[in-house]
Amino acid sequence: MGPPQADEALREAIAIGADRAILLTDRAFAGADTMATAYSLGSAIKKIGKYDLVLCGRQAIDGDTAQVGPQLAEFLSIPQITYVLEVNIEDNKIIAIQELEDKRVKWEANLPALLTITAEANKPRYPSAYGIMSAYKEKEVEIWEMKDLDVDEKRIGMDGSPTSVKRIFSPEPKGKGEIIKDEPKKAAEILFNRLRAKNIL
Amino acid sequence: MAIYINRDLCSGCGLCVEICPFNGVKLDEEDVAILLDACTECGACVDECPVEAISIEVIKEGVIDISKYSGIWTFAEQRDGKLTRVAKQLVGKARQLADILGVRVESVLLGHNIAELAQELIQCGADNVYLVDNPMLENYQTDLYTKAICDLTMEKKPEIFIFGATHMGRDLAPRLAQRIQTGLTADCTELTIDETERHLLQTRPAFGGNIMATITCKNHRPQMATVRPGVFREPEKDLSRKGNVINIKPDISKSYILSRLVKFLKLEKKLVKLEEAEVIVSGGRGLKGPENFPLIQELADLLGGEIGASRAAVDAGWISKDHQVGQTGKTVSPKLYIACGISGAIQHRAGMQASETIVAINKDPDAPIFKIADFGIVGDLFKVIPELISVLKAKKEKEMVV
Repeated sequence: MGPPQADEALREAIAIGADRAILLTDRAFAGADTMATAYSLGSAIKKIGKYDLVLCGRQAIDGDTAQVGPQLAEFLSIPQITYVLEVNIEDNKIIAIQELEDKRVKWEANLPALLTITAEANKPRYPSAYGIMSAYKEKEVEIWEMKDLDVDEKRIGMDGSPTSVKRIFSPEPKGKGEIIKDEPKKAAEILFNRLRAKNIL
Repeated sequence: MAIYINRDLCSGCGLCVEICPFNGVKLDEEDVAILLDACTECGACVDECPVEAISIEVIKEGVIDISKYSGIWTFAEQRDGKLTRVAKQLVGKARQLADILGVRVESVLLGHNIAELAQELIQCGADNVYLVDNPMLENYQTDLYTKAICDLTMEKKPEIFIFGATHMGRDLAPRLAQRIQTGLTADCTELTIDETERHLLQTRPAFGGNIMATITCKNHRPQMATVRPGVFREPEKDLSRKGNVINIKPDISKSYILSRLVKFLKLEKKLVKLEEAEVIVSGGRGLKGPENFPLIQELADLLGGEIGASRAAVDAGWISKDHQVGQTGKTVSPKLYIACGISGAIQHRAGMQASETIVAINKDPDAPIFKIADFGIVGDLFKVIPELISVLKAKKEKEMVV
């Protein structure tokens, strides 16, 4: 789901191996928070029909929320495993290693399931020359608008978002720090005294 | 929430039986769908039914009466029977907000044999603790925690519900918010109250900390947020503080479990808990190689801290990934962060700029890290750090004598 220029990201996905690409794009989707996004994506997945696995990134690079994955899993009523480092399929079950702050946990779930994947889990392959050609010459990125989905208009875009942005601002610049340029021994002493004065040491 | 089946509309096609992940619905002898005890009211059948015979009572904007919601809840995350630091920080912040609104602070504590943690939450400022003690909740499991907390939330109706933005909090809170159908704001670094409207103002960084956004959730309750660990102070415990511990018997069973915990992996080396550290000494490309990490380790040990690293150092294989600070690593906010030989790319700064005091040691005076440092030493870290270590050792010895 994204603006028309997201086409390029989908072409790249085709070039490295995706068989089919669908872009949900419509002004009606704009301004969606994570709940409305999960609803729109989930509605598209339901339209696609039978599926085995939904893979999401750990979190987006702009919003950093990490919320759409679990919200989508809940909407689809399927198991979720987040922060996945390693994944295997055995006997039609997902086996995944999850990385927590201080431990690693092995989980198992039936398909279909949703996983959110950490950056370390896999190195994306490079697109092949054939892949790149196929992405731009042979395959199409399908465009789905609101009318193509079986969705309740009140649950998408800004109207379907319980949260809204009240204000956007630049972070207050920190007061100018002190730069210590003395020779190492003196500099270490000055730093120690400053930290002690701030009750840190 | 509740599921209703209209017997007159049901065509007996059985699609609901196929889609149900819980075996919670079957066709009766008249070929009409009926709900079974295993139904979790997940709603999968509602969308699947081609004749709209199944409906779910969903809370929608305008329908919910927000005046019925009161009190501030915190999720009391415990790991291995201990409260996390962020769990206590949340109670401290909730106390401040609750005093503005004139409402109660209540903590939700799930686990097994963890009753004594309830007292700790009360000492930190909670008025009530909902203690949900059950052997099945001993370790965190998404589906059981979601079910138990969702039931409690729907019954007691808090107006605000905050979670630590830990991996557990960020696994649980979105699943829960989606089930309750309310708003959730991720990874907040400031929470205040709009006193005229009584709304929670939730401020969070976006685009790697380049901009800040204040988010509100006006028409849905509870207003849910995850909060970045370390940005709020841990309250001082008041050992004489009294509160109520309310025992809750959760309505959970194995049938709710979708993802099964197989085991905790044994690791050769314990993973470092950077998020909980009060002091972090981080090394970057300027350390030149893995053989120089013991130098910053010695400094970290003297300060009672842990070792962090930039992505460059981790990618070079000098130190393991669990030490990485930054947008694709860990987000930390210790009292003291010392960056050694780290230039301070935006991705690194996103993970540590909320630290209370930042010290940078770098030989390049133009390194961006100096822009956010409270104290910067321009110099060769291989000369500066040993001097810093000897100053610390000397003062330590002196104090021991005194």
